[in-house]
Amino acid sequence: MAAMTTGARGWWRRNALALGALAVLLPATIGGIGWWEWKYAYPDSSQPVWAVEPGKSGTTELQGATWGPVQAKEITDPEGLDMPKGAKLILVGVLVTPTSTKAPGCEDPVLVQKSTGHRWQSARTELGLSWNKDEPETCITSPEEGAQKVEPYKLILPYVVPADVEGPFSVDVRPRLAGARFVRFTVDP
Amino acid sequence: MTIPPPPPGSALPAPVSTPPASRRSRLRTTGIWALSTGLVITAWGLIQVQQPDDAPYDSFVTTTTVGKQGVARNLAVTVTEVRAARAIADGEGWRAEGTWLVVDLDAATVENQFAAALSVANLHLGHRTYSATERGETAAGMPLITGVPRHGSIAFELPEGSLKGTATLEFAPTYGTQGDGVVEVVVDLDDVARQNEVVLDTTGWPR
Repeated sequence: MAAMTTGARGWWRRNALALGALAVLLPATIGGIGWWEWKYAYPDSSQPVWAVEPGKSGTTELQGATWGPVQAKEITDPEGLDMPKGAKLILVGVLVTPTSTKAPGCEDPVLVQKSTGHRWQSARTELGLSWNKDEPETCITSPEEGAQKVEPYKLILPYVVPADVEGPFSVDVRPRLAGARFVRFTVDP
Repeated sequence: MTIPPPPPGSALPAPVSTPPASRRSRLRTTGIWALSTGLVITAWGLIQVQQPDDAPYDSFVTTTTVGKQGVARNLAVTVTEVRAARAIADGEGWRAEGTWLVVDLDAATVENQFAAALSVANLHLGHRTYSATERGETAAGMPLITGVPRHGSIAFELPEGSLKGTATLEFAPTYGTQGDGVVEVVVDLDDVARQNEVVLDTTGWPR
């Protein structure tokens, strides 16, 4: 019995180095693979999974610009616009203040009805409006890569939604190269 | 119930014990056969209820008729009118002769208008599939808006004399329809009004 105990203890002692390495490498492997997969699934996915929401000031920083504040109003009888029956116009304005010489680009922001997840994009063409540089739908980038700072500007987004659709809505802006992060404003016109 | 002692010199114990043993083995054989048959029948039954291998890629089809709205996951379509003509023209000065089937429709997305358009607009007639013409100004490929229908006309150029029988129109908001919603509209071509010339509706809001 005593011999067996010393034998077992001897085995642990003989393999102490390998066991020590195992104790370090096994958790490191699990942690490493886990971290890699998580990074692939979230920050590197380029899918909008992390909303950056503005605080009390109504503004937030992301990717070299200050986003917000946002304004939204409902227009039931817009004059001079080609509007369909049974629909209303939600006009959203997002102030963008580039803080670096590299002004971030973005696609046109999306209006999302929070209760259903239904999504709209600005409908300038359908409303009979042509492109206007004073009413941009997508972000203004520096003319040359980092050459000059872009002055603050306002994204003007007309959304055509069914008349019976009620808020609150979120306005999601996805700056380019921001990875999985995007700016989310909450509006209830 | 006393067992009488066996008469001396009668049969040995072995023949007496053999009949139960063979009955047991026969019972076991029958059991194995029954079990095997049962398994084969069950396997056959499973094959009968099993979906084809490509079933995960099937579309979810909503079938409707002219004048009635068909709603799929991200597409709501109403075919308002179907006309046949010997010549069609758009409002922009384009005109073409042939055997044309003109379909007027209202279409909208249901959930998300991102990258959504009237991408798939096909006509299945007999064993053939025709896609909507890309000539002229038509509603083929028009961008869609969530919940607010857009109206327009699409046109199919068909072989002469093929405007008969039942045809099926197929609509989807993206080219990839695997595992996604598709709206099908059944049209009786014998009931379609024939005209000499049809002017396509301008793409816009329904009037």
